Amino acid sequence: MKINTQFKKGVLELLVLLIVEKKDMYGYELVEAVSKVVDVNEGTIYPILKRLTNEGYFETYLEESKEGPTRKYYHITVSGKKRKKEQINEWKKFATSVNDFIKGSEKNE
Amino acid sequence: MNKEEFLNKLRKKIDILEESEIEDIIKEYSGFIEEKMSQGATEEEAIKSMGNINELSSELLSAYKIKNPQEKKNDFLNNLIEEFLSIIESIIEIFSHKDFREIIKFIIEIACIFIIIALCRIPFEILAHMYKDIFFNLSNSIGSNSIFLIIGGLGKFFVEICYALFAIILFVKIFESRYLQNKESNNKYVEKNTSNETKENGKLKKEKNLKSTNEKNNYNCEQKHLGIIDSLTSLCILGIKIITFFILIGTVFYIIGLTSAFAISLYLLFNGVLYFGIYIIILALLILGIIVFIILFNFIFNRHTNFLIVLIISIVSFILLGVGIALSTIEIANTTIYYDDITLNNEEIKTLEYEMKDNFIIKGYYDEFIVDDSLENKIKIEYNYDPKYLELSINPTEYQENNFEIIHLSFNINHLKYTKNIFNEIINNLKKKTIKTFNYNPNIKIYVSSNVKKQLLKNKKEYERQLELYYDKDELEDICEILLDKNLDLPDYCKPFIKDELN
Repeated sequence: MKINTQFKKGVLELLVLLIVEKKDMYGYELVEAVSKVVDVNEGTIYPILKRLTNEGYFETYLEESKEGPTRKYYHITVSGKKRKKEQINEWKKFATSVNDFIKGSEKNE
Repeated sequence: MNKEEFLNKLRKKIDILEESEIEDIIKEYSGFIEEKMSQGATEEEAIKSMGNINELSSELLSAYKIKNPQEKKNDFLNNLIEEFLSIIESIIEIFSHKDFREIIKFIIEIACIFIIIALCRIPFEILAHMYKDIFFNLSNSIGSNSIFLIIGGLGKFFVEICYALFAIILFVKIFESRYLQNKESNNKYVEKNTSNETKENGKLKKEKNLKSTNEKNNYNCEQKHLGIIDSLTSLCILGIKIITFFILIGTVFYIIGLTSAFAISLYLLFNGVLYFGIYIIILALLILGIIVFIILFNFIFNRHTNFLIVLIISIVSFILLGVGIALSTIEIANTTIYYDDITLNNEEIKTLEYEMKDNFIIKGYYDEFIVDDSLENKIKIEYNYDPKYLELSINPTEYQENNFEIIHLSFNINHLKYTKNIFNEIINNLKKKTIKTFNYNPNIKIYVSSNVKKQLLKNKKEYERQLELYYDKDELEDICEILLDKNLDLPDYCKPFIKDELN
């Protein structure tokens, strides 16, 4: 269970970084974008945003919306971009090693 | 569960965070839910999509490097150390980046913080002294009992530790609000710039951003002016709260004392001691104390107080107090008090014997000389006491002074072991509406033959005469005052001084 959530957290973080890098987004927009990719409890995205902001990978600014309430937009920083690159590399390494392993075990069958 | 319930639950789970952070999070989540609902979901569905609230809160807290609310206490010290380290870091930063003037300003401000901390020492000092005095007097009144001295010492130690912790926390908090906040506002400045950089995202947005940054700048200026007043008022409130905190500590002691008094009075009541007036007074005072405690507590921790209930309860307890005082005056008037009523029911006797010498003097407290010529040259000293109430150990000291051999009839009494008996005796007396004071001193009788008695008295006189020659007038006066204070027998040489005093 613990490994699972930890794993999920890592993946979600990467997704969030990738999405925000493309375009500044506010919370709900981001949640929608992430849930298109992964089935996830929508409440769990915000803590990740908060953590990434606290660790300096994101910056935030407020903006009025047409509907009324001001929205907090997230914007990726330079260190956030660096972090994203690291995460992508890590993910690729991880994915290829898992893929290789799967291929190997399929051959043996 | 509706939205309000969900948000309230969440708020409770993360209430160790700072108020502004909590507001931020709650706002964000309420925004989430509203958006979800505006997309066509029901309230129930929107909340369900947020997931498990416990998981949510623990993840939120982990975003602030707070592991679990349960581990908060353990982490307290770590947090303190971390904050301290960040302070040192920012000190280094200040010294390496800022000019001479700012460094001087910084030093002055630090000095101010230390002065504030030193001022906060005063109530702690009072508290420590209070402790020391209470336990020192207790140990004095009960006899040389070191337990009370140790408790007193521990109390003082505890107060000192509290002060040290308090000083560190205060220092960290003030420093944090003065310097680490500056750092944060710098960050915000960077944030504004970067938000300008995002103008590539569209012309409309760019205009909006510019507008919003301008507004932000204005807002920041206003905030700076407000900031000084705000910090002054909050400092005042903090000061008042610190003072009320010490009153709160006082009320805690008051409540502890009265609760034990109330417990004792209940015990007495069940043992048939009927002094209702005093019990009612104690109860009323206890209720008042608790009310004061609640009011102060709510004030310090910004909680709501229901003043109507407080008012009603205090009126009731004041009425109780009045009734209690009236009753107790009647009850006390009906009580007879005996002073120095020595209850020597189970007499036990310890005896000492000496062979008379020509230069003997007997000093110390004794009740009477009894002439018994059959003793011839012997001196027999009897200590009468009641083993039910005290333990007696006689330790006469013998020493030489001015060619005289002096026997000092000193003794130690220990009645702590027998407190139960004493307490029972008091209860029995109180049941009969009488109060008898205890005299713990043993009854000392000296049996001697008439010749020996004459010799002893003669020696004493001679000794006192020599003393008169030996000491000057002032020193003798001092000695006499001490003897008078302790209610001891006054020798002849004291008579002139006593007359002076009486005049």
